[in-house]
Amino acid sequence: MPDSNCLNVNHLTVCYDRKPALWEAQVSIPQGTMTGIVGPNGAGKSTFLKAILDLIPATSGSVKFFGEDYRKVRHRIAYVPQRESVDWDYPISAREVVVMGRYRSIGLFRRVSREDRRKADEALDRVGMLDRADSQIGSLSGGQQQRVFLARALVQEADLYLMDEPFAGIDATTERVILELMRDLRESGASLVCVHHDLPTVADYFDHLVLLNLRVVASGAMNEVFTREQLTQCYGGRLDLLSKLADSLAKLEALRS
Amino acid sequence: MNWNIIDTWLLVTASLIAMACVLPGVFLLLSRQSMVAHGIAHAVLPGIVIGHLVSGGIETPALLTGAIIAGILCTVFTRFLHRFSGVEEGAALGISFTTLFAIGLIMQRLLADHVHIEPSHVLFGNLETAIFQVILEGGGVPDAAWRGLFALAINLVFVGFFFKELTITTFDAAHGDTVGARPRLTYYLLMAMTALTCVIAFEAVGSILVVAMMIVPPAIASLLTKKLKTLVALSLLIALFCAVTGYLLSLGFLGDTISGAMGFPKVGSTNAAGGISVVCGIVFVATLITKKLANRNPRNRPIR
Amino acid sequence: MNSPDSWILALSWLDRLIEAVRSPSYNLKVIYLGVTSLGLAAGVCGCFLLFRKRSLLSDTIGHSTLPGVCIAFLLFARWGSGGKSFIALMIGALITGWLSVRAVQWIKNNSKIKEDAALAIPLTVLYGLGVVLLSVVQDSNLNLQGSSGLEYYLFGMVASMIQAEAIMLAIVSLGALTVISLFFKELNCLSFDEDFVASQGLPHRWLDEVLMLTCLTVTIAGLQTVGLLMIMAAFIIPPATARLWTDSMPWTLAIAGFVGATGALIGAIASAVIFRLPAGAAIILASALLFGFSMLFGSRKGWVVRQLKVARLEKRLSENQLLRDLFDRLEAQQKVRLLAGLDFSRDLAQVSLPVHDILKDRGWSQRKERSVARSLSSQNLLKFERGDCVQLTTQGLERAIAVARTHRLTELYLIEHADVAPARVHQYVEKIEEITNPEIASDIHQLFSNELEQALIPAEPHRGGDTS
Repeated sequence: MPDSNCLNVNHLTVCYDRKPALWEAQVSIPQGTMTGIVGPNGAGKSTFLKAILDLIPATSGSVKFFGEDYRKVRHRIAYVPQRESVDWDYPISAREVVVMGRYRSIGLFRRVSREDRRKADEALDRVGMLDRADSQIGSLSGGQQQRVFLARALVQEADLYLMDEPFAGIDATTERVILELMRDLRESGASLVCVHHDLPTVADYFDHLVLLNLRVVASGAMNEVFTREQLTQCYGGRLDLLSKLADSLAKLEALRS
Repeated sequence: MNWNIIDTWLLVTASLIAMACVLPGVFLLLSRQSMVAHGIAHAVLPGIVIGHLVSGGIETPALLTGAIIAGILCTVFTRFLHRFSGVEEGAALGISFTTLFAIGLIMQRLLADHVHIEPSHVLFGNLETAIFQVILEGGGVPDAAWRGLFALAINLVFVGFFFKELTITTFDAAHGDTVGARPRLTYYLLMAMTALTCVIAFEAVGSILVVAMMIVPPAIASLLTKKLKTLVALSLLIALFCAVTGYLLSLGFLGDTISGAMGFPKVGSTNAAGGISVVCGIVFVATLITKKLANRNPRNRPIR
Repeated sequence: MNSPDSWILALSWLDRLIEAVRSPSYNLKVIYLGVTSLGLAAGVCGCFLLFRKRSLLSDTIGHSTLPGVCIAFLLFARWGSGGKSFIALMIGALITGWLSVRAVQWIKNNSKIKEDAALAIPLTVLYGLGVVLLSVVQDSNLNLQGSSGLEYYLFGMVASMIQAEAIMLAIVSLGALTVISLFFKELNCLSFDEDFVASQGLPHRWLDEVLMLTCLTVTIAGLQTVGLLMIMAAFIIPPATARLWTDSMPWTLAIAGFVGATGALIGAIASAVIFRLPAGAAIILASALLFGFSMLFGSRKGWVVRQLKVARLEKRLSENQLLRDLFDRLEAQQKVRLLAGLDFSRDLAQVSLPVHDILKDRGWSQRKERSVARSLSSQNLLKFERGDCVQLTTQGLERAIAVARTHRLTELYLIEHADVAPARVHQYVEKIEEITNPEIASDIHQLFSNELEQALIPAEPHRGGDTS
């Protein structure tokens, strides 16, 4: 039976150097939704995405995509990392970056075909970047770079898109383009999970929400979760305690070692 | 084995040099410039050759000045390549020090071939010959020991005098600038100190093992403490320990073990500087593994 | 050295240069083949090291081979047939070189020690071990044949390269290039965005291992022939040079390979020509000169190109300034305000304006003024009139309006949205104009499009007749 959830996370705990960055996260996300992950700085939002994608080791917990292990359904998942993680000076054009999204389906030892290039151009066109396809990636503005990375995810033709802060530090045009595209994707049946930093727009952009602050404060449909009560709990003072606790735990561990 | 006065002096010299090296080393390590030390150790060559051509001797002020200038030039070039052409820092360092070394090598071959700067001598160093020359001329304190003491004294004075500035600069150069600590000046002074130490230690330990003595003891100490003053003191102690142990092992143990393992006859003493860095390496690995094992202890596991 | 002597020396150099280039001896040909193929392979492999910020790893690898060489020598002397077996030494070097790469990773993964020290510690410690082993090898008690030259392993002996070594270098180089071209797609992706490769489920650890082993093999093959420092420089200088020329990865690889091969060839020729010139050092210096040349003339980040870009930018800026000044004058003469909804006519362009007024206000030199105006007139934006006057053409007027509009909107934006004092806004916008690209301009236009709809759209030419 195919699972109706695109993502099930159970008791996921992640530690950086003995200090817990995410405690016992428990999240289920239904298919065909746009989910925002929201929380204050240092709340473990990126950590959450990286941990479910196996990019950083989790201390405990289990993650299922479409009811399966990540390795089995990898081809159905596309990930758009935060823009800081790459070398902008790298000699690579926008089109070449997008073609990278096809590498897994192309396979080792085989050349990039014309079909792959055509698909890349199509994706670039969808994000409105076709006219800059041959520009070096670092010469583009922040918003344009973000659109190129989105295009790279598009050519993977995935069912679930995981995006780390796609709206951070971009211009108004890009924000509009990305949002429209995300809605199109949802219309066509895909699911999207985005780390988001801007509270005022959350309710407009997403239909599901995960409030995160070192643990999952709340998750579910927007109208249930996006309440003053939950937000205060997420951003408010009480959770400072949790981070202090994590600090002192780390110190204790350091002392013992 | 027969212990005599020469061995005592060798031990004293090795300890002095090891401790002198550690002082700039701590700050090089903290400001992430370990490989810069390695670069400087090579880049001083043209300075040495020019200094020699000017003064006509070895171990003269001209030679030291030349070396310091060449060492600083290396860091200036590195910065320039990075800023002006956007070359990645590691690559910029690689370009500037290999080029300076090549220039030095060419100058030496073409202009000063009579100079006794054997490449093997520069690269490997030889504590024993450094002392022997003096001993043969008659007793007293050998020059090499004096030079080691001189380097240690200069470095101690420098670190004592600029401790505050060095702390700020190595920790946070931008902040250093705002409180008027002159980070650029401090940086270049540190580089000059590194170059000076390199040249003085060359003869005894060779250009590459100088870097071992500069970097490895502070790295070991940094695994054990986070306080800067403790770090400096601990590094000095570790350097002393490694120098003494390394020297003693080099008298026979290391060489015999190796040749014995291969089924060869006993060989006696081996290169002392090499022995010291091997001991440094062993202590480093042992410390790191002990630390790891302590973390593996089930009592100390992170909460899950 | 007096001058006739230097003339003779120079002539003899020239003589030998011609000979070394036109009809090299057999030995020289062997050397050319060896160093060129090595320079090529190291240059290409070095690109990936550079992008993975691991340039100095070749340094660590190189120094770490010494203990391997010594151990291999000892083992071979004990159980082998004795003497220096090239293959045995290479395998020894390969093992400790590989060990050093692992050690760097191990230190980084298991402690908070930073990259620089993680490179320096294995380098110096393994080298120290090598020095100890070397004194064992060369101990007189052992009396091993061939041990005396072993330390020269690290300095290389280009001049004594034999045919077998050159052929070996060529084969290694060919092999490395084959590996790189087979995995080019993945290695390129790995160097650009490692996280992405990992998230794609491509075997990134394995790819990394392939890359490192390739670099290791090239390093070790080169060590004995050209020496440690030269092989290191061959990995670092050509890729850095290529970065100054191009923005495409295939071209970066090609240029790095070319620079590596050319530098090596020039160095080898120079050392054949000049007596006592060490070949390894000459090769480094030749590559460094090529790098220096590229710093000046590189088509991407070279000094000249950047100067030209700045000049072009300055020119465009001055043109825009002049156009804007002319527009301001027109506006003042017509006693209308752009933002108040002005309709511009063709006739407006017919007004002649005295240039020297502007000259005075801007503080431009007469020559600059003239050259800017001439450049505008050559683009058919402006016509010269009698009596030091100029007149905007229709196209000129259009561009002047566009420029003035963007300029004023940017000012407005800064005043309304960035709280810049109105009196100071002008000086910022003058600078900003330099960096403003069409995208930002259109964003600013969009921002104001609702509030100022009417005033911001310049009138169509056909409506001009109504108001004038």
